[in-house]
Amino acid sequence: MNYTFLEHTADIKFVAKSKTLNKTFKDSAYALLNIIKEDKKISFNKLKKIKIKSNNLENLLYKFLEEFLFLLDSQNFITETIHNLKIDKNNFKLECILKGDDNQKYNINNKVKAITYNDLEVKKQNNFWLITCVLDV
Amino acid sequence: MNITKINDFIWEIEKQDDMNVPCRIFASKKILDKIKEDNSLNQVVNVSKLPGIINYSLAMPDIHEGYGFCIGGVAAFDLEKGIVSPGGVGFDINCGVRVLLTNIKEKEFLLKKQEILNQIYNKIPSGLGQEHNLKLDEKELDNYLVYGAEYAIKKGFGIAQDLEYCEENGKIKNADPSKVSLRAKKRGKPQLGTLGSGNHFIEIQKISEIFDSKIANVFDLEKDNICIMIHCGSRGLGHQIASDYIQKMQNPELKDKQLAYAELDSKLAKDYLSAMNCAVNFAFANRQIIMHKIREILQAEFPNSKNVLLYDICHNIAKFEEHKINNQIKTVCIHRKGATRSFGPSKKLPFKYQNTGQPVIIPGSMGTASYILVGTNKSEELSFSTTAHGAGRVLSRTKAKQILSPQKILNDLNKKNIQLKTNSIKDIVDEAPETYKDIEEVVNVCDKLNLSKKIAKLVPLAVIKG
Repeated sequence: MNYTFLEHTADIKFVAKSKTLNKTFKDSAYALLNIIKEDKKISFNKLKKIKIKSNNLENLLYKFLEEFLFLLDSQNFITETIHNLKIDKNNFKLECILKGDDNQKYNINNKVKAITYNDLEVKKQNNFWLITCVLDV
Repeated sequence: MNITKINDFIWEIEKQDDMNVPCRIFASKKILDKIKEDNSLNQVVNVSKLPGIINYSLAMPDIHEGYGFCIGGVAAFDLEKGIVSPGGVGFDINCGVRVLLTNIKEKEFLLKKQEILNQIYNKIPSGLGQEHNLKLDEKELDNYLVYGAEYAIKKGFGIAQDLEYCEENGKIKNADPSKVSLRAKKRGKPQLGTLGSGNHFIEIQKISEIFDSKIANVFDLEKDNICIMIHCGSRGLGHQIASDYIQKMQNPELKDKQLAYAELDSKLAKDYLSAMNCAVNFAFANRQIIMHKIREILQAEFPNSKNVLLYDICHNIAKFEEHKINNQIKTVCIHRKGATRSFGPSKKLPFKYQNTGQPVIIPGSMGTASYILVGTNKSEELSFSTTAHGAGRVLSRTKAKQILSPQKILNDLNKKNIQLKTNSIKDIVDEAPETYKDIEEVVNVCDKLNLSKKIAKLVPLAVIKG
């Protein structure tokens, strides 16, 4: 996974960097999930399909990441892996399949309150996609 | 950035460029030097640029870096020219704190400490994955969103008198569930009556010191008595409402997207406030339900105990309040993000506190003291009747995990005879005293500036974390 956590007094900040937008989105989600799951390994028992539409890349990422919090809070679903991620860069649409399980089995708490717009960035630098994001914990 | 010293505890950033008002930071030199290291002061300046802001962009002594507003950020806005900003309230809408006072003495309590701690831990779901058993349907949830703690009491969680001792009487008006998204409701529904994780906690404390016996008497604070502090908020419901409206308020011209806002006279602002008020009520109900369950446990263990709510206060809120502005009473939209209302003697308060001012509760970090203070008239003059809300973070969670071990923190708590129950031993690193400012320093700045005055000190005996 290509993500690193950075210093932020109150919250958690991470940067993900990869050659494709697809991989950078995925890694951002894995950074978020890393905070929630720590190093607990989740079995694959449940499947979720998600579809998201937005009006620009940053908002698309915001909604994508928020989906993991939504599934956790409302459906007790914790994601282990992300599959078949398709991003339509021009129309700001995304879909993918999530494999995971019921979080209650693993005593996993959702400690992330929200994704924030603070320093939120999705940009292309030279040959790399770069995502910066702060999570409210 | 040019910071001028007004006195030992007030610092001013003068108005320049596109700032609409100057900034004022209430802090000791020590606190100020520390916050210069992160982005807090820039965030205070950013708030001063918002339309319709009145007098100053303010920061309380527990200031630290947030997103949009800093934590400890306070701003009042003109109703005609001003705005409301979800980033000035925060994601955990009406995160707040209440204290349940008891007449149980420390000595009696210690005999049953473990038993009581276990019962509280078992009866109050702390984090996610432990749903409450309230079995809410949509309509029932809406009732909580509109009627807050009042509805919780109607359903048997408490007594009518509790409402009198809540800010807004535990039920803020103009809450409209139709302005709350289905997603927010779905996130909130399984979580009513749960504590949540992060910095939320239930702490069993004893009153260890009284600074003003006259007011302590009115507040019913007696040395060596046990009290219970409950700190939590509106859970996923509030987080999602904040997120929904921050997204709705995005526009390409914003310099700080987290500081998205809507003009107070717009439909979007009204919708946000109506939805935000639902989360405010959810949080009031949440703390009410949790307190009631604790009260039941205490009453079963100590049948002769009297367990009375001291006060329930909001930390994260935007609301309409009357304040004296340039010698005129004016209604403003006050934002408090990680800050506490601090009304001095006033007819607006419950009868019991009308001559003293309201109780102000300032929790310390895990394992350190907390304080009860009293609101002042001076705070009206300095800070739109506002004071600090906690110790305020100094160390990032990333750094905390690098330099502190859970075992060390457990050992430190053990040494102080403080018992801890938690879902995740790993996470306690985030809440270790080393990651926060010194609570004494924060409380002393409040006291010396008369933002609120010290009444009593509380020390922890046991703590439950999500």
